Amino acid sequence: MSVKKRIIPLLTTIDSRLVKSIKFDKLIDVGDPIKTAKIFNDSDADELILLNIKRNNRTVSDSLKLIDKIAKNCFMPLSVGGGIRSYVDAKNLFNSGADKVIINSATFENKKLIEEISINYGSQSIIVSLDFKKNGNLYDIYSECGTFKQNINMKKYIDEIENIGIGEIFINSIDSDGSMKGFDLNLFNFVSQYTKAPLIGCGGAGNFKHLKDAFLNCNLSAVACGSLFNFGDNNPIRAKNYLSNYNLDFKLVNQ
Amino acid sequence: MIAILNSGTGNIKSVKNSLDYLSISNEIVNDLSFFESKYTKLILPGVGSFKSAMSNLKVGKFYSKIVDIKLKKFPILGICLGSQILCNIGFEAGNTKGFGFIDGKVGRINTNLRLPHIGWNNVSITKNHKIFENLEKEFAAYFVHKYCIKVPNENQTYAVTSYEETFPSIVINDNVIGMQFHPEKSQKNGLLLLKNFSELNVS
Repeated sequence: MSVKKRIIPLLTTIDSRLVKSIKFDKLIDVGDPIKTAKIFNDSDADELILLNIKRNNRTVSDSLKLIDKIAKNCFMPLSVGGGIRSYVDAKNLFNSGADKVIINSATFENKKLIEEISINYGSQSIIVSLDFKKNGNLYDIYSECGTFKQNINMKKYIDEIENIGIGEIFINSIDSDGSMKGFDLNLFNFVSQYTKAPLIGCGGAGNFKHLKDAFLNCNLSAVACGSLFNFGDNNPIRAKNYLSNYNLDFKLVNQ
Repeated sequence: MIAILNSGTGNIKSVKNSLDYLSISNEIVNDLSFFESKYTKLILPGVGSFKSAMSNLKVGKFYSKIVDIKLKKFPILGICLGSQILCNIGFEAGNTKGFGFIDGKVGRINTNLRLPHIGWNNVSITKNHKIFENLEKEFAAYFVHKYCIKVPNENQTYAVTSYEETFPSIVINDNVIGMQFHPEKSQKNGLLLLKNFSELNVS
């Protein structure tokens, strides 16, 4: 017996609206994040991830307002990210009800940020997010919502942040994002070999078979799904029912 | 009323949100000096390290007050790191003395699996207690930790969980209760445990 696999609904927002993207672009409005969060909470979702993906003039204040409302009725872990640049940003999110913060761009510029969060809230409260674009047989890391290519050595970067102390790594494929044609399993396996942290795989889920393939072929702790649950009428309960046929262990509704 | 101790760090809002949702009267407190005049139970949440948690409690002069509350038999619930500091000693970042309310040492989970142990895992009840009223013998709860209680006292072990190593997930010694998982993040079962805790009588 061990820890169960997790299926995490991903809510990407801009200005308090739930949006769907394709390759981090072509954004469309798909609803109200607060109502959506409530539905996931009522159906006992494993966790929720809330990501503010606004491009310009992004601050955490939109997230603070959303989290404050969502956290009052959400009794599973809430992870929040998008535009976290300072320790104060993170602190305000924790005070509003976030359990974990997701940090991407800021970590490249300032490792002290995750160090400070780690000291005060514990390393488990930090999810470092990495966005990737294919480059031939390899992958490039991008930050700033996929607009800025980071020329860093991934192994060195991961070693550095693991030494400081992080909880999980969130791997996102920009190419597969919103495609609903399946995850980039090669990407997950590529990153997996360089880290000891539990991994959350994201980008491209469109049906339950994609989830099965990810869990059976990659060493993932969790998958995060945006379009699969927010752009269509699939839900985590049905996903788990399907996956239970493949010897995968999940938290079930009656537990 | 339940006092939720704010000793300086950590996310206590979730604990408050869950008690508010259950309509259980509670307050986040920064000072335990007049505990008996207002409160009947104490919750010690905790994130961070064993060392920093104990250091914060000593700096804030909470240490002796908590010992006093324990001796006066008020129910105390320690959550996650809050349950670990109830033990004798912790080995995270050096050796740090805990409260010693629960027999046990706290060390890194012995596993080749990835750490932290994060996610939903089964809690298997091994001994009966009022706090388990209406709960199944085995239920899922949300864990997030790298350290666990080692060399536990069987008489104080009320539930266990496995992550390659099998460790106590619920420990109880008289009026002191520790939960390694986060009940405030464990949906129905967690809320039920919190409700049952709120209804325990002072022994």
